[in-house]
Amino acid sequence: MTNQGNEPLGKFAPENMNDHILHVIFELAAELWVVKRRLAEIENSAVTAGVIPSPDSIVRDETFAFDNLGRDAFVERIFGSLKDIGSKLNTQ
Amino acid sequence: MANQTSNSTNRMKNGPTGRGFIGTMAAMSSYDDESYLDFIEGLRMFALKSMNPSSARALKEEITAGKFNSENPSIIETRAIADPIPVIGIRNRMLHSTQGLNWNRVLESYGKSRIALEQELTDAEKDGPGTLQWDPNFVYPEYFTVIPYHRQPGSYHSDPLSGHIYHYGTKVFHGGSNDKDEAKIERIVSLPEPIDGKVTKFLDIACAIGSGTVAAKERWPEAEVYGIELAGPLVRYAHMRATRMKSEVHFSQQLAEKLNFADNTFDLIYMSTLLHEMPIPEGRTAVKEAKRVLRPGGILVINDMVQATRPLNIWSDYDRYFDHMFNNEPYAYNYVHSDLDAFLNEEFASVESSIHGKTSTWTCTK
Repeated sequence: MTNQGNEPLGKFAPENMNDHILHVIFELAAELWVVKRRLAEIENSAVTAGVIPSPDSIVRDETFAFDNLGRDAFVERIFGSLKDIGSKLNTQ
Repeated sequence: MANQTSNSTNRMKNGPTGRGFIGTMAAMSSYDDESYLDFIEGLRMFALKSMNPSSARALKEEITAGKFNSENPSIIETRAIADPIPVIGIRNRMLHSTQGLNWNRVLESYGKSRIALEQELTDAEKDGPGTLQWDPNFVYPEYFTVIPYHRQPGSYHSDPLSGHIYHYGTKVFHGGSNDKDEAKIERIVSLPEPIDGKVTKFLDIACAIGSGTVAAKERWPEAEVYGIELAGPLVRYAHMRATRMKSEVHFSQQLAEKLNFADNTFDLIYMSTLLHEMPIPEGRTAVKEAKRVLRPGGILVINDMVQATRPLNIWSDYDRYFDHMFNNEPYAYNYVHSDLDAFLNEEFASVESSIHGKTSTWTCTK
């Protein structure tokens, strides 16, 4: 019998899966960015055409979805913690 | 006739993918492909600007803690200590993944427009104002074909769209800072002239897609400007691109080790990021060939990876080895340990060098 209340993390996947999992995360994040960027474009067009009021009460100009600063902030938000791992963990 | 003109104008405006241009390159075939690569570009910049410094700091902590037995450790010793450091492992994975995801998406996207892109290459072959010489049956040296450089699918030479793929792939590599050739133009603008100020013939050796070559024609509009490149698809792309930009540059497919020019022909020769992509003997031969076709008093400018120092910069050495092993830079690690300075000083009347980040510039006067 298993305890249905506790997810058995660490039980199934071998320890050396981390490399593979990271690769999957990068791929997923790229696809997420595709969706976010397209959605921003559609929202902007919809606002311009008067189809919908400004989504989230923000009126975006045409540079919104293509702004590198916005993209880089998105990347930092998802992956920023990874850059500090070297000082937090010691696998020696 | 009016319709033909209109169609031609639309094709120029919309480009071969139908989605216009980003800077000097055809846009991706779909908006999603462009967005995907925009993200990859951002993630790569994060790896370089955030993960790299963190990784270097983590390794330095190990050095400070006395984990190394020598200030010039072997790469085996360095890897034994650096590879298990978590932040370094994640950095390595990030760089490796972004490179692979980048190439695959560029290939997939341009592949959707393959017929139009290849047709544009063919149509441009006889157009000017410049010229193109290439041989579809060119026999490449084995060192060049043994591995796809930088993991580019098809490498530089075996896909007709290698030039397109290289161009968009390097857009991501540059983090968008070279979309309009800005980085290449900056290097050409900074080139010194021979002491007599005469630049009537300019040669760009291993010109790739000809960004620097076109920039040279802009800087010296009265000069005859030549670009040679080993990879057929790259030199075809360079010519097509220069034709689109109305630049009179003469491109040809040639081996840097065996140039098809007479002795003492050129006033100024530019050789950028070539030597680290060749075995040491072939690289030395290429430098001697450049010297042969350079006129007395002329200048050869070499831009390439910084040579290794003593004591060793251990992080830089590790980083270079990672690139060598996992990013298909088969000759780069040997190159950075090849003491290029000593060789150039033996060959030329004078040599001046400077370092800018990871790149060195050698100005060699014959």
